[in-house]
Amino acid sequence: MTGVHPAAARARRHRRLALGFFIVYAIAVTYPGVLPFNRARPFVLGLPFSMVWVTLWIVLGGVVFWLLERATPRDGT
Amino acid sequence: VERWQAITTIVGIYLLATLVIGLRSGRKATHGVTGYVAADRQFGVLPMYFIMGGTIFSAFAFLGGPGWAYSRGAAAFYILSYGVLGIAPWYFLAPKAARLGRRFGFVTQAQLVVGRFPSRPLSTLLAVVSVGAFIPYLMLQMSGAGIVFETVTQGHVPFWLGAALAYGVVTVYVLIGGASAIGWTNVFEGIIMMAVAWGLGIYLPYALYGGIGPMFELIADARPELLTMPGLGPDGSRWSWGAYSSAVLSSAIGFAMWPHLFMKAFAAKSDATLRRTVVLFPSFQLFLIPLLLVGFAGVLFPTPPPTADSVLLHMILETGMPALVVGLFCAGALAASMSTGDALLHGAASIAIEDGIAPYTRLRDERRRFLMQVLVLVIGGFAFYLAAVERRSLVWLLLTAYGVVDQLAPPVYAALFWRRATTTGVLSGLVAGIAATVFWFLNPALRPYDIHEGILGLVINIAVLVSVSLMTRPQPDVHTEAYVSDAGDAAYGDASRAGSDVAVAGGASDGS
Repeated sequence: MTGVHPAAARARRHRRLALGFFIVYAIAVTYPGVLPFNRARPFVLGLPFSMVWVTLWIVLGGVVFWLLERATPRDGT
Repeated sequence: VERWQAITTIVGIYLLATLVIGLRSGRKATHGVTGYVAADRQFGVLPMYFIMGGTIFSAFAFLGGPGWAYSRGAAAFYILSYGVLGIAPWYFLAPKAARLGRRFGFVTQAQLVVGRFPSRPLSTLLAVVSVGAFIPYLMLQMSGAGIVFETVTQGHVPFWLGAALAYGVVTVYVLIGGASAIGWTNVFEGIIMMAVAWGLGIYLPYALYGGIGPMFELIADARPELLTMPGLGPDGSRWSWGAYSSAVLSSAIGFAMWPHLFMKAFAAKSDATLRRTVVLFPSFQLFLIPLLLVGFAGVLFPTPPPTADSVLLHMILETGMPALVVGLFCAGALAASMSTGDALLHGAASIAIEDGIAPYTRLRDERRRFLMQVLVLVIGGFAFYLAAVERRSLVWLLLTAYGVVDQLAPPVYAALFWRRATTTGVLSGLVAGIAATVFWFLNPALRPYDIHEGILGLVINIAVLVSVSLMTRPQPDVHTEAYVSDAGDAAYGDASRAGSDVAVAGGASDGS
């Protein structure tokens, strides 16, 4: 067993990037990562900034899942 | 027609529609265990999306979510934060579990773990933990249904009758239709509860304060402490960061490990279905926002609700909405309760037979399915009895259940990602982790930094799992290969072990 298929290597790179993103996500919505963004103002669309911040990460998470899914080859199973 | 009669009629129509959908969709499934427990592995994206979403939207979220925002402010943001983090591992775990399920015939989470770590005590322990965690959760869903009925009909439909009506319908469709009925009723229930949540979440701030922005302006002036994390604790003083952060992490780790959710990986039609379910899942998470808006709308409401959890019901009754709207709200709240309760009832019965009883016997397929159906009745009746007798006093059981479910993560990750893990290691880690979780749950004063007992239990669990595994004899490669080798890369004709050390995308263990 030698050599790694380039597509397999790419899939692994994507997984590591995704893992990195979700670690940043976890830090950004808990102590201490959330502190700089943890404030009532400014309001965005009528919502306090703290609420917008946690919501933003939900949306970003969705985008990352979507990118990951697009990068996953159809393997037919 | 009196107001409560009109409301009850609307709710009755909803219940009837749910029953019809459940019975019709259940007819197509085959009559064996795979048909009953895993819907013949035929679910597409639509039922999978609503099953995963419906569990987040339990009666607890529908009533407790607004209750948290109302009484504890930004502490409720933890509910917004854990869902997407919790589903992320599922993107990698679920297709892998599903592939093993197709190959070895697994339909439950414990079968997957015990397939890798053969041990009947382990199977029994997993079954006991699952059913033990489900029953208080199921009771809470039943109580939610009973309370909603009783409140909106001003006692004309008493608590026990409301719970019995809603869960009578659930029991019938789960009994007859199994997983297929759950999938398709959850689509219907999901649409109803989403519509109701958004409708109320936008209507109430406008009706009471002239908009969402004006509402938060008023709160920012009167109660600014509610708008920044970590919000308030249960006693109304500032919550601790340790408790807030570890609540997010504990829920995120436990989320995909709930056995009734995990086993739905075996019900999906294909790997692509599972991945697309994850991609769509964050959109469901956003539906928690209107529920928090409802809670915030209650903060400056002239009359306080009797309890924080009833803030939603209280405002609906006090603002004098038309009976049609109240009826629809009631259907939405029942939908939230039922779409969680059905999977719990079905999961408890399936797991008790497949993981608790079947390993000790040689029962035929149809016989096991029949026993599951008997257990649906028994467990449903038992939970109803407890809910009617105990009412709310067992909420603490649910809270500890989350910590205990976290302890299922190390066995699952070890089964799929760590070659060197052994049966003895996993079993002793699990026992130690559960014991530690229960200990810290009962002795909150001894928790360092106010950290959630589930996270503390995990530290013990992983330490014991790793050290005992390293001290015991490794499993043969030929056995571990099927579980740990990255089947995702096998699609490229490359399942080489050379690269598998970087393939531990779940990140829990890296030891190949």
